[in-house]
Amino acid sequence: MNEQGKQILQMLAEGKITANEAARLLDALEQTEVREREPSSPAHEPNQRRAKYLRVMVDMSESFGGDGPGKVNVRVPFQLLRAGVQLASLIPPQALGRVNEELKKSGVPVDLTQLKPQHIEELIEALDEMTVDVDQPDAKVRVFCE
Amino acid sequence: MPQLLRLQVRRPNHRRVRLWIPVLPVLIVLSPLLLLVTLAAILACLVFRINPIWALVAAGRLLCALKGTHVEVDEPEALLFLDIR
Repeated sequence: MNEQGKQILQMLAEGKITANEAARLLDALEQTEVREREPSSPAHEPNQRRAKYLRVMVDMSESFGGDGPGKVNVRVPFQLLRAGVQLASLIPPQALGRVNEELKKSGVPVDLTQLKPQHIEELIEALDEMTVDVDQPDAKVRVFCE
Repeated sequence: MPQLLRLQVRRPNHRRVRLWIPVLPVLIVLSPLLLLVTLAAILACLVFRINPIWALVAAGRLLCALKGTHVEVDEPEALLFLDIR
């Protein structure tokens, strides 16, 4: 029995509360403890429903771009992102330097030497709640996690 | 690990190509070639001072992580469909 339970019994022994009141207090205390131990409490729900995939969907109508209607549907597992970063972390720094230079030339100034596996976890957690909706008369773009 | 790879390609003035590739049997058939590729990769790792075990583990994880990938680009003139299960 924990400290709070002992306090209730002490109050009963001293006559401060009746036996019925003590029983009700002990019941309430037990229920509180069960709720705290319960693994499926609402506080844990977001972790259980973590997104697994990044989805990009594009619907283009006939008037978009002149090539007629089109559809793009891409689903990328986040696990692939994690594995890719792990593989990238094995690349020697000299090679990463060259890759950075080429990326900069192509207009993507990303420093791959600063990319660490722990960063990708933070990125995935942030992406989890992200939804991008672009709704235009001739095209619809949706980026979301599922 | 992925079990099935579905691929569809359609180009202008070409017939649509549909492929269902069972990954495990293909890997078994290509295992002698894969062994050579693995040996070459280990050698390359040693030359570039990369831990070959970590490199193999990372490559294996990358292969396993491909499961669930879906790419579909459908346009009037061309189609690309790739689904890994």
